[in-house]
Amino acid sequence: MTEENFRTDILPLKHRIYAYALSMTFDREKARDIVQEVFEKLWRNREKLHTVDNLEAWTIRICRNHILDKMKQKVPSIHSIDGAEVIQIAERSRDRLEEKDLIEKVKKIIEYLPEKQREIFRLRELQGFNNYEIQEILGLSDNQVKVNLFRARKKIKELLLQKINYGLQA
Amino acid sequence: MDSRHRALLEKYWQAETSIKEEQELLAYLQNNQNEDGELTHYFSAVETFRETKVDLSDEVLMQRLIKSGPKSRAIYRLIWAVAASIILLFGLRAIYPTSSATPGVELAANPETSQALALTSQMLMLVSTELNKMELCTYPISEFGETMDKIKSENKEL
Repeated sequence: MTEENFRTDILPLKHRIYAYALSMTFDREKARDIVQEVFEKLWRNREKLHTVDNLEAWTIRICRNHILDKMKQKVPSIHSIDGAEVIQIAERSRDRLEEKDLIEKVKKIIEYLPEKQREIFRLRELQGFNNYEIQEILGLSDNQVKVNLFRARKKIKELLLQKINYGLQA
Repeated sequence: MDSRHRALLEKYWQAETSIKEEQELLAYLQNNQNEDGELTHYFSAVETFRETKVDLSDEVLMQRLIKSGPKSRAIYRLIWAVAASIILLFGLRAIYPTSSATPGVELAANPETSQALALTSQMLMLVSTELNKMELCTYPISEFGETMDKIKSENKEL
């Protein structure tokens, strides 16, 4: 894959990778670092990318494996910050409060779910992947995906009903 | 909520909706936010999260990638080259165990061996000198024995 193809086909996936990393870490800086690290992996292996059928699903799988590896190692991600990035950090602090609220809302829902249902929730609700793509990413059967999606939504419905009945705030 | 969207919502909770039906449901709830507060909050939170964008420009990202890419590949290539050389050396060593040098030449080339050889020569020289001294010392004894033998034979003749 040429640099030009990489720019047109792979770079636009950065937002999806970020949203997925954010749903796993609930930390904007960590999610941002993960985006860069995943892209470094993709860049190094760009010659093999033309053989991949579904690039979106594949990159999310790479991202998931990368985060799971980091969680196992518990290595803090450190990278140097250049001048352009310092300006970006200052700019993004304005929207931080709104995003923090959103992250908290989603975190409450995700924490309410068991692990497998969380994975399905991230991919289906927060990423918009269909069941077949989720099977590919997680290596589950069609039935496992359907059952876990059903159970996850059932739990979310319970959570929403609880909030309506008891007047809890999300 | 109209009957169609109520049915869609029920289908959603049963996990039987398609992605397209879910998008339709979401669009309906966003346009009719007064219908069900919690439900609307849930769907809008999920949708907003889905649309979250990383504030990392393509150029910054590409610069970082271009900087990191070739360096990493060069390191990997170097590692592979060193590993291949080591394997080749071991392979040649296994095929040709004693290629040119003979054991004697190899030993002579060792400085420790030369030192040991010199020390051994000195020791042997010392032993040799001492043995010569002992031989000189035993000479009078043998002369005495010969004289005694001569006297004994003269006495027999008498």
